[in-house]
Amino acid sequence: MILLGKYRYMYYPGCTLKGWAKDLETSTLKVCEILGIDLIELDRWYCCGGVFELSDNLMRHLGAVRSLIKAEEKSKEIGTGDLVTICSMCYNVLRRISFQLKKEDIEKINFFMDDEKDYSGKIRVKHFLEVLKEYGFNKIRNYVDEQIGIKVAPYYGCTLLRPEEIGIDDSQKPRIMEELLEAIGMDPVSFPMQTVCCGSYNSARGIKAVETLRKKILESAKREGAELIVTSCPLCKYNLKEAMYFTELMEMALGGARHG
Amino acid sequence: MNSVKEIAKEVKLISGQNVFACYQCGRCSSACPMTEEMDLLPNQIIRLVQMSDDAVLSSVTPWICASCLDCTIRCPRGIDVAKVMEAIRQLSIRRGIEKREELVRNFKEMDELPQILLVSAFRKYTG
Repeated sequence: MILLGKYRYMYYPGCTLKGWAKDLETSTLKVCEILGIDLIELDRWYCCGGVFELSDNLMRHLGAVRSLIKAEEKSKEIGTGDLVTICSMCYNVLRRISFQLKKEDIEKINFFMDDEKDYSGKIRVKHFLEVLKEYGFNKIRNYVDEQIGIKVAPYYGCTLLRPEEIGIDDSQKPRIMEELLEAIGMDPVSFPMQTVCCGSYNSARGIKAVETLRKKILESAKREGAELIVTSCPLCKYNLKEAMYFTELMEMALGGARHG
Repeated sequence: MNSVKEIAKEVKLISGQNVFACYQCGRCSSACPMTEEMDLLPNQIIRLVQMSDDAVLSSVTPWICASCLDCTIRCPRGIDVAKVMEAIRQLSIRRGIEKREELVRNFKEMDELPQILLVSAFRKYTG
């Protein structure tokens, strides 16, 4: 039996946090260590697919549903049905699977997967920002080690907010990242293009495909006086080139280096 | 004419969306961040689907759509435009007229790309 604290969650990292976006995972785990939040990684998980399938092709949902089945198994051991993701794209896919997939589609997928137990729909998929909000931004204020006080523009992109039914905040006027940034001693600046898509996987055709869009987004943030842009999505970071993960900034503000 | 007529029907079957609700207000196209890369605007695609015009199957637009849903949340007629785009992609793949090969670049620098980029592009550009 693992000894766990009050704030405990199952954790789904996804493929990018174990590869290209390792910094996103290490900074998040550091922040959790400082705040006393336990993130327990699933024993087994599968790629979410990156994008939620919008057509009638149910096979595209298998990996994500299978991960939720593994989460249901793990939830008995941990004593919570909350599954946390940090990558925005994983959040979007898993949350939509848990929330929007029709009952008859889940039944078909369960029927198809002989080797696994059925998914019964008990998992609550949450983004790490929601976890921090539940924990309390005011409480986080007490852990701030260094008042950095720079102008930071939070970039939400699309997958944290759309579709509206699964958004972590208002789809057109989100505030959650601004509230967090304020709590960790930053000067948050909202900007007009903070909820516009970065072009997503269009950069598979070459980074030029998203260049016009990147310039527009960066200019929009700079016009509001932003010195830094933060995101929770590895693909947004790749496409924007000039962005940092919000967890990296948190780690700095909470004195991550001093905590060893 | 018969196979042409089927486009509207098949798009509805795959996406569950009623494109005939569209009255061409153009909000989808004004919200779309990727129009500069497209040959037809999203509202034009919807019109062509209404008319079952097979030009939608050779347009690059459905392949540029990143399913960011900025159009979907703005449509006053409740059409999930991103679902329509996905249905057109599926339809052209199922009919063997897909555009994917010319879209995917030479992945020389694959090690430097985020995994999520490769996975998503692979999913969207293939059946």
